Formats: sequence, C-alpha cells, structure tokens
Amino acid sequence: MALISSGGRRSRVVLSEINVTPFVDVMMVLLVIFMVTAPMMQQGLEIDLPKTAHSGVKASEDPFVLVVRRDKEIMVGSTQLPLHGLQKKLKVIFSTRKNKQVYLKADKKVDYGFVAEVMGEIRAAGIYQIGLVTNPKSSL
Amino acid sequence: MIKNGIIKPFLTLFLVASSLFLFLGSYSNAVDQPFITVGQAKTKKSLIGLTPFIYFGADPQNKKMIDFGQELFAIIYNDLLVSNYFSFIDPAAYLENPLKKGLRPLPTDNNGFDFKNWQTLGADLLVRGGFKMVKETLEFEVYVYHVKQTRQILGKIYTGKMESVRELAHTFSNDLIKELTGKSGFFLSKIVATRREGIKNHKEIYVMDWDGARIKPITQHKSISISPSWSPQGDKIAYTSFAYHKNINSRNADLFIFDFLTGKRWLVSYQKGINSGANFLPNGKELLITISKNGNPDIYRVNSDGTNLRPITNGPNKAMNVEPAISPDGQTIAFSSDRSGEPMIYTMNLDGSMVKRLTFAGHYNSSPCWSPDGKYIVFSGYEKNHFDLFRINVDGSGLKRLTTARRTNGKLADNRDPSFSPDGSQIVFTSNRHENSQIFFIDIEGDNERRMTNDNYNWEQPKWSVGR
Repeated sequence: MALISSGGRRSRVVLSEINVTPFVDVMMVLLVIFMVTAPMMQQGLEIDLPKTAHSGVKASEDPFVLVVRRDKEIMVGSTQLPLHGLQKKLKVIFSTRKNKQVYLKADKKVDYGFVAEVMGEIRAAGIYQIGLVTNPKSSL
Repeated sequence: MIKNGIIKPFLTLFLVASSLFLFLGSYSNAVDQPFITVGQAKTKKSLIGLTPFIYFGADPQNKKMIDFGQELFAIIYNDLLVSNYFSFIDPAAYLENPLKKGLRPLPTDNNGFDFKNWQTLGADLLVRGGFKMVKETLEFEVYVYHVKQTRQILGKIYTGKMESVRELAHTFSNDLIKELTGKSGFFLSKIVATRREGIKNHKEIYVMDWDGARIKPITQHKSISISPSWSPQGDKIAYTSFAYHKNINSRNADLFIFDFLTGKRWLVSYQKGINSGANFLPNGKELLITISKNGNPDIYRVNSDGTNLRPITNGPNKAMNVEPAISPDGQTIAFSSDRSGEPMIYTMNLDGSMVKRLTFAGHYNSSPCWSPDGKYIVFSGYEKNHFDLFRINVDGSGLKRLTTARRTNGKLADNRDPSFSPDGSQIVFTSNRHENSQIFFIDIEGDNERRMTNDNYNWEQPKWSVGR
C-alpha cells in the first residue's frame, strides 16, 4: 500500500523533458537496416561465390538468401514463394533456423516500393537483421 | 539533413547497436560446430528434416498403407526426439513437397529433392524414405543426407513383416544414431517393471519396449511378484515372488528366473525369509541376492541354477545389507546398509572386502544403480518427506539432485527406483507426481524429463535392459 501511494505522489511531478521514446523507436527501425547493410556488403559478395564457400573454410556460414527477380518473383532456395504469405512462411522457417539473418538480393530494376514491401514482410516475420546484398556486376 | 541536436544520440545508438550486431555475428559462427559429440552434457542439437515416408505401391491412396507409413514415421520421430540430439524443421517451413520429390537428390534423380531448398532452411540433416510391399514383405528404403556437405551418410533398405514395424523403425533409429555418434541408440532395448493390479493388490511383472509400447506379462502368479532384474544378455529375468509353501502353510519371498528363449521358469533360492533384490553378474551365470535366513538381510552370491550359495556380507552388529548392484566391470558392489544408523549407499569389492561409505547426505539412500561406463551411481534419496533421484561420482564426489518434480497440488512427489539406459544417456524411474506411480525417464544431467507409461496402474521398480 505504501508503495502505491508514494508512486501516486511521484506521478504528479511535472515532466519538463521531451518524451524521446517515439524518437528512439523510429531511429531503431532506421538503424537495423542501415547498420546491417554495411557489413553485409562484403558477405553478400561471398555468397555469390558458392563454389569457394563450399571448399569447407566457412561451411558454417549457412546464409538465408531471399532473391527478388526482375519480374518480382520471390525465390528462396530453388522455390518461388508468393509475397502473400511470405511473412508466415519466414516465421516458421526461422522458428528453428539457427542463423537468424536474411540476405535480401533484389534485382536493381525492381522498384523500390516492391523491395520495401518485401522488407516489410521480413520484418513482420520477426527478423531484425536484414542484409541488402549488392553485386553491381551481375543481375539475376 | 539531421540537425546537430539530434545527431548525437543517433550516433551513440548506432555505435551501441552495431557492436551488438558484430557480437551476434561472431557468436553464431562460434556455435556452429560440426554436429553431435557423444558424452557432452549439453550437445548442440542438429536441425533435421524428417520428411514423411512415401508409399510406393500401385495404389498410392491406400488408406491402410498410408496409416502404416504414419505409424512408422511416428515411432522414428519419437526415437529421434528422445535422443535429445535433434530439433525438427516444422513441415510448414518446407520449401518443396517431400511427397512429390524423389528420395535421391537432383542431379542423380530427375525428380529428386533439391539440396538448396534444405540448406536454405538451415538443415543439418535430411531423412528421405519410402516403403512398399513385395508380396508379404515390407521394404523400407531410407536415406540420410548431410545437407551442408550435400552428401549421403546413410542409405539402407530394411525388410520385414508388417507386424514388425516397431523393430524396423527402432533399427533404423539405432543405425542413424550410430552413424552420427559412433554409439548405437537404445531404441531396441526393453523395460521390465512391476505393476500393481486387481482388487487384491496383486503385483505382476511385465516387459515393454523402451517407449512403453507392447506391454507383455512375465508373471501371472496372482501373488506379489517384485524386484525384476535383467540378465546381461537380456535373455532372462530374475524376480522375487511370494510363493505358497505347503510344508509351512504360508508364503515365502522366493527367487525365480524366467528364460525368454526356452519359456522356462525355475526356483533359484527359497531360504526362509526374503530371497530378493537379484542382480546378475556380468558373466550372466551368477547372481547377487539378498537373503534373510539368519534374521538380518545380507548379500549372497549364487549360481543361476541355485547352487553354490555363499555369503558376501555379514553384519556388522546385525545391520542390514541389501540391494546389491554390481559395477559394469564386475569388480565392485554398490549396496544399501544401515550399519551407520540410517540406510546409506556403500561400495565393496566382489568378495566383500574394502567396504566404503559413499553417501553421507540425506536420511535414507537406497536403490543404487551404476552408469554403464562405471563413472556414476544414481540412487533414491529420502529428504524432507519425499524421495528424489541423486547422482554421485563413484569416488563419492559430485553429488547432484536429478529430479525436482512435485505433484500437481504442489506437494512433494516421490521420484525413485532409478535404472540406466544401455547407452548411459537416460535414467528410467517411477514418480507419483500424477497420483499413480508411473514410469518416467530423465537424462543424466536431470534435464529432458519424459513420461513413459500413461495408464491408471501403479508401476514400480523399472529396470532398463542392459544389452541391445
């Protein structure tokens, strides 16, 4: 009882500071993608060379690559997945997957809106590490 | 552009967040070692794609065969689950329909599965299997693949009668565990236990598969039959039954042996008083038993045909010496004795020399049992009005409580009568946490507790078969 009354008293103190919570929220969203992009640049190139990766030096890499083709087809492994239901599928896959990163490999001709939509699905599946794979010389 | 005032916290956040990410990155690399090392307490689980088995018959929709395939699958799934070596990919995550793809990978088979689809899921292992009937014989064809190395590690065709689906499934599970760990699984092993039943509270002895399936009676004496024990080869069971003796017009706790191969049953020891707690020596030809013909129970050694009975313990001071358990190398006996006042676990040489007290904690320690590697002894310890399982090193160090379960009403439950699985990874025991005494098992670290029996009977004294 004593705790509640003292808490009540405290709540009457005027807050003069800006509430930063919404700010942090927004920035975290920006950050997750931003910070992942930089280190992913090199790793993205590596996974484009599966034959060297296969030689056993880094067998543990185990990347999850989500490809968005020029015609907006979404490919995972050798399987095409519809955008509708992507979130649900990713959620199940990542419930047991050990490495929780997604490498997004979109053709440069795919419009920004569609990529954003795909990223939205990935985020909604509870995946917070999205690597944007950039490979200027090849387009899938 | 972001103004000065905001960019500062933004930068700090960025630094914190990026270092966190780097840490996660290196962490996941470090954890991802090659799979399954036996003996490690907390083995990292391998992610396995255990796909449904395809029926290759003329009529793929045959209900009976589809059900059969699901039964086969369920037995194997349970085996692999209980081994604690695997986590399973949710079938909803599959990127291809396993029932529509071949058992072999793509370049080999035109309609084969694609390793890429399983690598993407992060799978370590993939199991692909199918079955068909050739006349009366079942053929179960199954392959196991190392997904990251795109390599087959096991490929076999198992044949048998449809009724032997359990043997067939357990044999495959054993082979897979052997392939991955170098040690066979325990899936063909059996449990023997006592069951209380009937209005007169008879106790009869039953054997069952390790997973609680196929319960079969060993005794139907309509008496009290208790303390069953396996021979090392798994071909005999020694037990005690209260048999009627005409000459004294009363029942006496006599020791019997039942032989599975011949179906014969014979009386081994019938000294006045108890003849109980039998434990086969590793040679399978002799037993340790407890006999109370002189008033106090003492440990004796006897041939399995009842000849050559000779005492190992005697006192001291009329103390009881019971529940002998021979070490796997046949050199040391662990037993319970109240020579220090309260029942405690002791060890001694096979000839009765070099008696050493092993346990000092608690008030009542009983039912010692050895791990197959001879490193640990697990026993039931009584403390605060209930029994729990404890593990101790053979030198008396490293005492560890294994069970903690309570009853649903919060009251303390008795967890007792431990016995090791043949591979030493699990311990079977009984618990009355759900009111009736049921059979459970737990791993040697006291994790992954599972229920084995699920009925309204009271089960006691389970013993896991030693061989197989």
